[in-house]
Amino acid sequence: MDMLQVKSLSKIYGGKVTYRALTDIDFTITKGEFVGIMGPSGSGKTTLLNMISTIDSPTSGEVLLNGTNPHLLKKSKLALFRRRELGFVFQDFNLLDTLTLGENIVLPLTLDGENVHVMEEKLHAVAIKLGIQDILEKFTYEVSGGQRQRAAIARAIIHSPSLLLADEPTGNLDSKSSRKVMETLEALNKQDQVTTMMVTHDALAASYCHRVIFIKDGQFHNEMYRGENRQAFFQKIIDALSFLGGNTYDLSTIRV
Amino acid sequence: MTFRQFAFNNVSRNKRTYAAFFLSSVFSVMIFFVYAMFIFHPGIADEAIHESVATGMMVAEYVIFLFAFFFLFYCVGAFLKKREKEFGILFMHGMTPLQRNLLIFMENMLIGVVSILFGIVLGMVLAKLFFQFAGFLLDVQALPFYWAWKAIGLTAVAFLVLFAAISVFTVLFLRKRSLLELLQGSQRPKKEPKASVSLSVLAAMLLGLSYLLALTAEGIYVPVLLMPVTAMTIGGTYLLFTQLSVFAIGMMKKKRFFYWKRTNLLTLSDMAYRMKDNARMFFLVSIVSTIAFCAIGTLAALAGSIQETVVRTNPFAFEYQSKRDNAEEQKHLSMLENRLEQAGYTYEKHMLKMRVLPNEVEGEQVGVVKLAQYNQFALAANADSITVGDQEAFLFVRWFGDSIESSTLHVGDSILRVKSNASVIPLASGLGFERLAVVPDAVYDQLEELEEESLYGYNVPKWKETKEISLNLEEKIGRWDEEGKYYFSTRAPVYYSMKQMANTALFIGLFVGVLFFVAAASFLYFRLYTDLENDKRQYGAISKIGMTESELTRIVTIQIALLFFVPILVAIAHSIVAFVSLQSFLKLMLITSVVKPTAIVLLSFVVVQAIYFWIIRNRYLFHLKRSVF
Repeated sequence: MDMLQVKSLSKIYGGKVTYRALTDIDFTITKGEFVGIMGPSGSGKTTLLNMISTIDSPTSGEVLLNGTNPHLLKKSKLALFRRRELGFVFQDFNLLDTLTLGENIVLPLTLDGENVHVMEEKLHAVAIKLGIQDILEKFTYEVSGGQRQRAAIARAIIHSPSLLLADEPTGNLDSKSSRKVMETLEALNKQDQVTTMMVTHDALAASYCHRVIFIKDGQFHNEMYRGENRQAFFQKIIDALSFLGGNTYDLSTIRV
Repeated sequence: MTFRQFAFNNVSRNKRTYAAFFLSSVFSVMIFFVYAMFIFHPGIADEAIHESVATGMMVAEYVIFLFAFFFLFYCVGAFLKKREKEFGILFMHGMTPLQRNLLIFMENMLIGVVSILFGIVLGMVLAKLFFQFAGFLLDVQALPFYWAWKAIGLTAVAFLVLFAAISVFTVLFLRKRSLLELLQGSQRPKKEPKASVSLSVLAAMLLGLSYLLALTAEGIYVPVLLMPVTAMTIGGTYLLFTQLSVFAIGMMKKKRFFYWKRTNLLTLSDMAYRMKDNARMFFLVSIVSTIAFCAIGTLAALAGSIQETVVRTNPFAFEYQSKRDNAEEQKHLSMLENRLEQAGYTYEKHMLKMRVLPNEVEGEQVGVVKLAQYNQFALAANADSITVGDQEAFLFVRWFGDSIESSTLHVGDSILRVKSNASVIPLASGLGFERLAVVPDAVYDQLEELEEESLYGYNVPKWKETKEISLNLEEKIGRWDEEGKYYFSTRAPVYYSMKQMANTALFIGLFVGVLFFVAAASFLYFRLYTDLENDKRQYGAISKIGMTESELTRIVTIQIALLFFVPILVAIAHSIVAFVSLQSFLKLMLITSVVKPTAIVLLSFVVVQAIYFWIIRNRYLFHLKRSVF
């Protein structure tokens, strides 16, 4: 079943010099899939993600999530749509300093007016799943980057969204934490069939995906499927990236 | 680009950043200048405005200057805090601390000089309006506009010194921070606010106790209790904001059913931080507002009850009292009556005859008056009438707190039981005796061959217009003669001089109060302005998760409302308590009602604050929404 359909999506930024950020992107993500989006700097990855996450609106084309086009919703409905249908993981975590990790995690439910008991149950369940049950009372500055990102993932999935969107989730982490976070995402995908779309620079992170879509200069370039061996997939991604001609500094250092 | 150019460009290209500080400076300069113009006005030297007014204005000028200093000092501090990151970057590129200090000094002086110019020009524009208002309040002709060179000079010099001093002090007090801390700027995560239980309890106790003392204190004890209660309230208020509020929020956070309810989670968690951050500012604003409210309320009460007070202390528009051997009595009375008739004023004449008892009682000469006549006279004077039994005499107290020692009074052949009431003010006092007594008609009629005094009271319905006549008569008749044979008093001049005095006090109080008020509001504005960047980031993050505009509006409205109204509400609570205890004290000074003028003062402050809140909230939300949505 198709969870996300992106149909001939284009984005043109206006202004004195119009700039074509995305041209005719088409792809679908089925339920339970784990898809990575890769490409050199300026290829339009973030623009694409912003379209799907409804933060930005497309110039033409449409995004269908579970068959509905969120861009046709009103502004206030859109916020509700985001908070119920989508889960977000950011590069810089976007956790609130004033809340404990536990409070940060229940925030989407709280804003939705969920019953406190239900929230507590869900918080407990998701914390165990991510192995952060001991640090729920801590504040963001008291825990490590990896723990923060896992708390952010917990926040993104506590309301069981249709689609989990991750924007460079390992971008701010060291290699050990990165691996732990990616393993978490993979486990969630495998056990709970959390449909995930991840934008990344990091070939290692991308190697955890089922499928990686490469875009270049705002256009679909190619896509690769993982197969059985993650190590081999990682090597294929590295090759593809150098073929894409992104500058080498675009690649994060090989961390294997 | 030279260093000087760099400093100049910093300011001229970041007008928006500097705008708040600039406007505060202009405002301070303007207020100071308008006052100075008033003080140096050539018309002040004339008799038109009482000397006390000018003195009062001078004192107010010092207060304004002192206040401007602290106000601008705070503004600079808040402003520099916002620029920590900028300094961090500059330091990283090799700026020396000396250069930074020089930069701050040059920027401050640049802003200072420009705001002095703007403040003076703006003050000149507003001066006419101010003079009109002053004239209206002080009951004199509005002062004409003039070129106030002296005022300009004073303002320019005073504020140049002030800005230089502020620059130096700011640099001296600038906290040494590590480069890392500077670079992180306001992004540094803050520690969770914690409150001590014992201090929170202490806060509640201090406030409770001082309220209790203030509310239950009797009139005479108010001045005695004033100092300790004030000290306790100030201490309690400080702890209220630094400890009790944080403690209370912590308690609320423990209740998950409340805390985890929709936007409460965000509002409450943020509030704890804001309370802790703003505790000192809240404290200052509360105390300053309380002082302003109390001062203005008292002055308004004073000004509002002038007529009542004067009418009570001078029950008749004209009073003439004379001894029997005063040869000029008829001449004086007919002169008075002729003048009134000529000027076309109607009047009623009332008379009271008093006889002086031959023997001293308790070392005092006592004058007696017939009950029926006294009550008639009291009715005319709109004062309390008196009842005495056949064997009773009513003795008046002579001053507040005076007590009657004797329990009987010998009048002629009778011995009368003494009756008294400290709250009844005597309508007459004697020329040849000290204490007045009211005796039954029968007893009075038996007295003969005694020294007699007559008091004539004239009721003039249009007494307020008789100021000229009164002054003229006082000059001709004299207020008393040297042998003490007669005594003459008028009401209108007393009324006008008291009114001008009270209005002056109110006028000065109002202006200083408004200055405090605007300054308090500016403190809040600065605070918000410093938080804006942080809030943009935070709400940006939340909105990505999915927060509707109305939810953002609700959260921000609650937060700003708290910022604006918590100190004001605390100040109002303090002032109300203060007024309740002051009322019993002010009653002694014949000021009858504090309630109405105080209510007007408090209400208008709340209304103005609400308007200010609405404007700031909308602007803040506008900025926030533009960057978030």
